[in-house]
Amino acid sequence: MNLSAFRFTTNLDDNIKQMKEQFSHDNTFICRMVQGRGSPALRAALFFFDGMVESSNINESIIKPISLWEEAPLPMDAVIDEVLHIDDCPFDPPVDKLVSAFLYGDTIVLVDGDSRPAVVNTKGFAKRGPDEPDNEKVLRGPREGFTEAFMGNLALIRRRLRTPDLCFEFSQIGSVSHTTVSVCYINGIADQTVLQAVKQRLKQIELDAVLDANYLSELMRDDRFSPFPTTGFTERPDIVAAKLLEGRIAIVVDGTPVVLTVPHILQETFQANDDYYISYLYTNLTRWLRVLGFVLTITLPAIYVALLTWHQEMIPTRLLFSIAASRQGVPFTTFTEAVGILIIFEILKEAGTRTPETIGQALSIVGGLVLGQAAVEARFASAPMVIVIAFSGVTALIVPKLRTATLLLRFFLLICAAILGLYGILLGLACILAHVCRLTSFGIPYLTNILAGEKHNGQDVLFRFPWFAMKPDKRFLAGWNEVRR
Amino acid sequence: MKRMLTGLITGLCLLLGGCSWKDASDLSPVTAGAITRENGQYLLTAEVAIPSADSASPDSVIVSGKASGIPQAIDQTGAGLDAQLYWSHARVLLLDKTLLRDGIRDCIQSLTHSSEVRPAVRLCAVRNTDAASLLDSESTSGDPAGFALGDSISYAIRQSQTPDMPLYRMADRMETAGIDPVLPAVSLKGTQAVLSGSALFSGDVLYGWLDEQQTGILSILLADGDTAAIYDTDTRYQLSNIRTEIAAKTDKKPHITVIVQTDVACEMDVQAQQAARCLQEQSCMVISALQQAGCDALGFGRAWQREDADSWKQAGTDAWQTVPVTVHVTCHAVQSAEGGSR
Repeated sequence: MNLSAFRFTTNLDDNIKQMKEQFSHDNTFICRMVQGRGSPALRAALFFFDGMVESSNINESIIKPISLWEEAPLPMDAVIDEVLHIDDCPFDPPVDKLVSAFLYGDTIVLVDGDSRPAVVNTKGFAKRGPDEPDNEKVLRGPREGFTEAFMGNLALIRRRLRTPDLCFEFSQIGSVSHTTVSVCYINGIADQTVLQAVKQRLKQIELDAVLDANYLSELMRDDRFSPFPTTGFTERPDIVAAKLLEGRIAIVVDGTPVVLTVPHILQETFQANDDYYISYLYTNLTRWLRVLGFVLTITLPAIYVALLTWHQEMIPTRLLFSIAASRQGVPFTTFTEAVGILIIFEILKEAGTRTPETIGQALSIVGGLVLGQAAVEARFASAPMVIVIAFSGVTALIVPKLRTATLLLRFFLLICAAILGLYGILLGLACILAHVCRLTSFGIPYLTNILAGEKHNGQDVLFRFPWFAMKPDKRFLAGWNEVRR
Repeated sequence: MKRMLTGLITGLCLLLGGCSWKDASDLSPVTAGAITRENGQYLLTAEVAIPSADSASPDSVIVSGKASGIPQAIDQTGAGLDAQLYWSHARVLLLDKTLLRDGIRDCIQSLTHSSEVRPAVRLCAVRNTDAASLLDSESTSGDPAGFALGDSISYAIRQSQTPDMPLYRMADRMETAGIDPVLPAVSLKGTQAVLSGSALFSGDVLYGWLDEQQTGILSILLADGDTAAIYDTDTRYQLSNIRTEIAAKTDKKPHITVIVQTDVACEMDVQAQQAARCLQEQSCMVISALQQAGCDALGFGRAWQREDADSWKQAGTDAWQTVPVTVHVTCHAVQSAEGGSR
């Protein structure tokens, strides 16, 4: 659509004709004529999209006041002041803003004899309630989640942070979609360098459409090929509020419940949403279990393969007998068997994720139990291998934020183990460590707070301090600012 | 340059690996071995475990090979099998009396240098039968005989019933002046292999045997086990936390002192004193037997050498056999769930 073609005239009929021509291929486009009771009568035209507007709002605030107007026609600015019953009504906006608002559910109002349009806020498309996100459930704590409604999401954040320092800066990205994106931060807490970097990177994005936050994430993140996430994702307003308080910056994208938070560092991947809503003792225990789970999930299949192919002397004799007995008749090498079962496990997991919840559960049971048992009985795989892969799969579930890293690193270490045994695993782990050490997220080192020697913060890294011992100005990047200064 | 460096480092890393790919299912784990000397050749017999999916205990098969050297005998033993013999899980190596009589230095050196056999494999001297036949004996646990014998020896070592003499320690004792090897002895009793005392060596040649009770006391003096039991006629003393120290004094007249400190499970100090006296008497008898056999199993010579190397050299390496030895035993009474003297 050619936006520059929008040139309204003082002749209402010409304007109606022009609009109808522009949207001739859109059956949701509605043009409504209204006429007052005066003589000569006030004539007005309303343009809006079906399904995008709140009908009662249009009826009560626009159609009814105009149709009951008994006096002479008025110019548009006077109509806004004296006739319409509306709160938010930009008058004669620039054509790009006019089109953008119109396409987003606002109603264009034109009166005869005036070429200046009014844009009335009548947005009213269907939206769901702020239910708890399925993949970010908590044992205890707030249950609200973001929805696809942009302003509603911002309201959810503002409700939690009633400070004038909370800033929302809008911009539009997408040459076709014109998606509204908001950069949220708390002035005085957010790191200015990071903020400038975020704005700069957003400006550089060239896309036709932005349908989800991940579009931005992949374009904005520091190391685009790393399996480790350097931007955070959440669907929970309480999490966004907490991260803003820590000096991070949130990026809210219209049309998606997923909000980006940056910078995102390694320690965040081991933090759970309800770490701060339940006892710090329990939190600390489970946080270490998550770290252990991650280490186990990437190394366990590799260690098993290394022991069975390179270091059989390290396996206790009776266990070796047991494993050797279970491998009798299996036609594959240990490495091939491990790779095969891992792939099957991932396929089952993917199938379980993509299928409806009720079928997914059944699929998991069939896949996990029946198929595993059948594979062992048919000598396609050995029971210890199924146990190792299944355990490794289960431990992966406790660190969902590192899902991609888990999947890739598991295979990487498996190959290292097959080539060089435990020595290969150590080399592989050293490579991973080197990679993580050089990662940054918007200029902030990925291992911030984890490496020794950083004085600014240790309150929520290996252990979550109890709230009575936590100093707000020393939390996360708020403390990082101090160090930088 | 960067690529060359990366290639060089990768190559070095690969070289440092040092291991080789052997899938577990391509291996036949050896659980025990027996070495016999026949016509100037080594006859190596191996008990190979065959894991069974239907039973917790593996089945076993006996294979053997003969060659002029141990490495060749190892290769010979595995020849003809469809899976590679894997010696790292061998728990025990039985040395036949034919080998013990002629000296075991060459055999031990070959085993030590072999990359197949683990240095921690335990060695045993075979008494009153040939070593290979022990691998064919019965075991009550259902495990292969050699494997079960390995379990028995481990248990006996923990209970201070027999000395712990793995391959590396045996090699160390043979190569070190002032200390002699001693091996647990096994024999065939009925159809079962049982521990029966220990074999005493002077250098690498068998010189004599100790019975079970003497071997128990020797094990206490070697402090290999976690616990021990001594008997004073019908009274049993349970010992734990055993610490031994051997010291030599050479200022006037050479003299060896053996200090034993241990906890004894009893309720009164009097019982502890009785246990100490009993242990002291039995220790003296065992030391005397060792001196008579010429086996310096406790390393008196080494203690003397450490204290005064010159006087040790002057006196001669066999002088320890005539040196007076004093044994000091201290027993601390401790209450134990196992109970006191019975």
